[in-house]
Amino acid sequence: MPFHIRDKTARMAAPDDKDLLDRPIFSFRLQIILGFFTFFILSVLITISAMITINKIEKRIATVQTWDRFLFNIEQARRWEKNFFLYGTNLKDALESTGAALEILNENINSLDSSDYSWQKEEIIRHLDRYHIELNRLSQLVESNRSQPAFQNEIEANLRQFGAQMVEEAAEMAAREYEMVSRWLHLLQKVPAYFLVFLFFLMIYMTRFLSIRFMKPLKYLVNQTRRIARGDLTPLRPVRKFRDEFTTVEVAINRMLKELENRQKSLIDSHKLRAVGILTAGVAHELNNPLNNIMLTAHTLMEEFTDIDDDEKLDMVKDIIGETDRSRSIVHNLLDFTRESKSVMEPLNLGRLAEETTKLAVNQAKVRGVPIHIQIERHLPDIIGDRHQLKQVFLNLVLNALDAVGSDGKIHVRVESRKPNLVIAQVEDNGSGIPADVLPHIFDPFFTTKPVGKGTGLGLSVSHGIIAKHGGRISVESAPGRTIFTVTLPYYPTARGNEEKPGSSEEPPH
Amino acid sequence: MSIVAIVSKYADESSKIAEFTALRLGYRLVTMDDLIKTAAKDYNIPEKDLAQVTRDLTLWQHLFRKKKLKLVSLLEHKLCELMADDGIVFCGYLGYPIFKEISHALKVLILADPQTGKSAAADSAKQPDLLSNDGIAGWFEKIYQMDMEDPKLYDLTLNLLQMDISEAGDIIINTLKQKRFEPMTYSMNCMCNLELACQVKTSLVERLGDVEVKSHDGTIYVYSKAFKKGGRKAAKEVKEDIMRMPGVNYVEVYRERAPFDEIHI
Amino acid sequence: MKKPELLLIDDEPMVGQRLKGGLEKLGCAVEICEDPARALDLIRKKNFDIVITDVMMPEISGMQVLEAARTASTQTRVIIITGFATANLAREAMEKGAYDMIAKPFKPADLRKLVVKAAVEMGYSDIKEY
Ligand SMILES: Nc1ncnc2c1ncn2[C@@H]1O[C@H](COP(=O)(O)OP(=O)(O)OP(=O)(O)O)[C@@H](O)[C@H]1O
Ligand SMILES: [Mg+2]
Repeated sequence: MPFHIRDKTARMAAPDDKDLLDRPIFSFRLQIILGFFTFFILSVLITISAMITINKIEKRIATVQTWDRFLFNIEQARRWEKNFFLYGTNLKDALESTGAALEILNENINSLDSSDYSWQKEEIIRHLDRYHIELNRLSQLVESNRSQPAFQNEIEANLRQFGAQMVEEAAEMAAREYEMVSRWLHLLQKVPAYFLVFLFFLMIYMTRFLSIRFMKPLKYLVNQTRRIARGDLTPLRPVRKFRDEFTTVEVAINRMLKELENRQKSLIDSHKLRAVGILTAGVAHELNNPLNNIMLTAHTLMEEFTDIDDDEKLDMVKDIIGETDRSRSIVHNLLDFTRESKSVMEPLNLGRLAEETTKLAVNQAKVRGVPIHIQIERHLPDIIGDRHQLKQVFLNLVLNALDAVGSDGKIHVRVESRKPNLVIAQVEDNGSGIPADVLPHIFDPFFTTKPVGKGTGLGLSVSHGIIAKHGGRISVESAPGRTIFTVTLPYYPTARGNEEKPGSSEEPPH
Repeated sequence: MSIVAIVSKYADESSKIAEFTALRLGYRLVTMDDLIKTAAKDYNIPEKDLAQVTRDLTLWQHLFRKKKLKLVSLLEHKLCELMADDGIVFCGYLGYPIFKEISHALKVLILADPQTGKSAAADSAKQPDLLSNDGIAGWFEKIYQMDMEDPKLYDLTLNLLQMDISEAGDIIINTLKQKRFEPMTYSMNCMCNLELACQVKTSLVERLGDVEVKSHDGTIYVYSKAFKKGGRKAAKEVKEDIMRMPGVNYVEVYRERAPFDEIHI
Repeated sequence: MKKPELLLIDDEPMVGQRLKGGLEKLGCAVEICEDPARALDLIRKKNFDIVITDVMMPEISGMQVLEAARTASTQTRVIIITGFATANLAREAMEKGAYDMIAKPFKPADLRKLVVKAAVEMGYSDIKEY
């Protein structure tokens, strides 16, 4: 049989990467930029509104001043008016002041109009006008030097009325504006405080948000690496709806997993070949027996051809055919184990598998004079697994047991089911046992206590990898004279024939 | 009768021991020179060429490689024939894979003072084509990919720093008295197989270069990477050629050794 | 004339079945045994001239048979037939006093030749290959 070595390193078009990469990008960079951008926009908004407010306050203050000046002139006018009545001073000053007030009003009419408050413009202007008119009438009266006390009294009453109303109105306006200004100022004082509080909460939120966004994938990765460390090499699957920097890490991990799996596969394969190599003694013996029978029978037939009757000849030929079949089944059994096969997960009866495997080693055991007892529970539930790989695990365990026992060695292979959903297979030997200081290392790759050329130290490490991939466990109990290796595999009552892979004990997507 | 194979990179010392042993046992002594002379005579090849190839440290380089390998193979074949005869003591650094497989061959490794080796090297200044001690070990390693002085390869390792030549000879003779080194049908069959394999190899090596041949009761197994390129046709030609050789009744051709072949229990 | 006593042990029944006739034709008294434990008993009870034994048998190995036969009588010639012949096994067998060893599969004539050789060495002169 010419030997083909497949190119195991041939890189596949990583289909697992696709899942990860087929998401929209939302990188942390972008997230951080977005965060800061929000801050910036907020600050800009705050600044602009502060500027607007200050601007408004400025205007308000101007209005207040206008009203003050207006009030001042009115009051001045009234004072002159009062003096006139009391002391008979001239009215010219009062008229002037009123004119000034009117001028102020006219000048600032726009800015006053633009004020938030509607003001009784007509009223004030009407009152001012009337006041002005009354003053004029009074001054004309005075200039004509005609004493008309009744008329003068009427004018005085009018002046009093309009003046007072005007002062009152103007004062009210000024007070109102003033109140406005102080309200704005008050607001201006409070806003930064509010803003600070808001900023504080926003920052807390951002920190939490970002750290959760960072921590969650980190935690996920940590969990995944733990799972990988346990030997489960199923690739990572996307848990977030978008891509970020962690995706690069995940893709890298998936590549690494693929590579690891390839390596493990070639390790498994090479160790399998080694196991076959160890089996050659048994197989050679096993195969040479039927061959010898064929040879002896054929030669006997040839030598005694003329001396024996046809029935005997026929018997001999039948023997030859029977022995040929026997050889073929031996070769088949071995080749079935050696064959490079795709990893197929299928429902399996672990008991039957253990039995077939043990048969492979039985001859090897016979060479050493070690009996192997097999004890298998009937009606075992099927587990889901890879036939060839599980066979290899049993073979490794049996070969190890065979190496451990002496001349009066005995090996027991047991397969049984356990509650709630486990099938356990045990390989027990009565050999030397494993010393306590060796025990922690036996599953390490390349750890062996056997001489060079006899052990590679890969048997248990490879077996451990295989069992982990199947979602099971392999454990050992050892004392001098009694070593038990236990393989525990879960079965899924509903999984009969379906595609569920027991190895992927994935957490639910976040 | 049994075979004693003495391997050493100290040519002088080991040949003295071989001489001593052969004389005491009444066996025929075969040294490298004897082997070369006999082969040259029997195969009608200039002695010089054969001698040259056993000293050629560039053997594994490409130029004339196949021709040289053929000469080595010829020598191995001759050695096989000689060993199939009566008891012999062979002393040399060629043919390890042959006596490795024979249960009635006592394989002895001789170690000696490297200092005396130095003087031998000085000697070789006079005979410049002779290999130095390390040259011998190098030749062995290149051709058999084994460390010549690995004690695991031998039944007996004797250190001449601890004993003199006659003591070493006595030890060899006493060891050979053990029944385990007696020949029997099985080991004689092995010898025949080896001889046939050597013969087939010699006929193939010039054509295929690196080739390994095993034989088992007339069935020949040929392993060579050369079949990879040439494909079916070359394999078929080789098969036909070998089938014509006397004693061959079946031929199998492989591209590679199955890896588990190498593992012995 | 006394016939050489021969015991053939192999757990494969066909071996004895096929070889018996040929060996008897040589002029040997042949006993066949498939169970090595019973063979050990036989060897202890009776001195066989020639013992032919397989090596790998359940429970008891051919090497044990060889040792038993050699302790029973150093005159006994033991021929080993084995399906897993190696140089090491050959040396072990020889060291334990085997007369010869032959690898399976072998031709009946090969074994008969050995038996004749052994018998002649032991002084049974009228044994010869037909
Ligand atoms: N049943 C056992 N009894 C005693 N020791 C054991 C047993 N099984 C394993 N060990 C110990 O564990 C070590 C590691 O075993 P492992 O199968 O991994 O490698 P190995 O048997 O040495 O080499 P390989 O399997 O490649 O031939 C062994 O060297 C041996 O010391
Ligand atoms: Mg192991």
